[in-house]
Amino acid sequence: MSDRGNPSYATLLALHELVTRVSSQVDSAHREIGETRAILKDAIDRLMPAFTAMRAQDTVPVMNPSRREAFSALQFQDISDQLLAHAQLRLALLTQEVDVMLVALEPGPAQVNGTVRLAELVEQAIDNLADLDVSLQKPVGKAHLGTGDMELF
Amino acid sequence: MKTILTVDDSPSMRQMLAYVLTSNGYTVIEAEDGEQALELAKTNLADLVLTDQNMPRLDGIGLIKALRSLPGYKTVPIMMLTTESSQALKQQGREAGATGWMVKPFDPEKLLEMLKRVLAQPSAQ
Repeated sequence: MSDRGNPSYATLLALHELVTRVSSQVDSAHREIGETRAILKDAIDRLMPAFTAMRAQDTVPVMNPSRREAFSALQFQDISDQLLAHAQLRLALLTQEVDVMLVALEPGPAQVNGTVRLAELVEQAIDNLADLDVSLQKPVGKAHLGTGDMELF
Repeated sequence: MKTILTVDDSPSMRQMLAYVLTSNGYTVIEAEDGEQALELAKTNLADLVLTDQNMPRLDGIGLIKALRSLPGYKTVPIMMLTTESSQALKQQGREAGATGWMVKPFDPEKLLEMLKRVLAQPSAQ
């Protein structure tokens, strides 16, 4: 910072560069999670016809230990997709916040009283991120595919 | 033959539930979200509803509240089958009128055992 009131031009340039790089990384992470979700969906879309064929071959219902395990494991896509969707929502909000920062850090005539403006933006971003934590309840309470609890009210 | 309305936005989950339930003598009606389930419930009186929580348009707890306001669904058992396991959400489900809560992934035999128990209760007859 050049003084206690405004950041220097060089500081703004450095911050702008940093935020640009952060933005790029967040975008990449969002895209890669999207690709992972697509791969998982493709995998389950290929597995389910095999599952249906198995079902068609049964003359009587068969439920042996191998099939029970298969049933649990085949639920992987539903469970992991919810976690990945939440991660994408978080990254989408980060992208929004970073984009606002990028505009604010753009060196030029619009940069008036930059320190105050940046402080406001940072405060707003922190509030927005906190709101996201409140609105996004954790969708999956476990990190494995062991079968879940059952409870009658 | 008992009819079960299954509600899940995941096609694979609906397929697996249909496999397990039809293989064990149940008739299955499938819905891909709460809104569709509500429409189906108005024209098909199911003996039990098995619903996911996180779905587009209308989630599981919203569906339970809507179903409980329908005359035919005051006492029909409604089971949640979801990845959600927080006590706070379970409490919301209980207050909405859920009969029970099952956390995914489900074990076919445990699921069948639970459904048998619930359907045997006098309120489900």
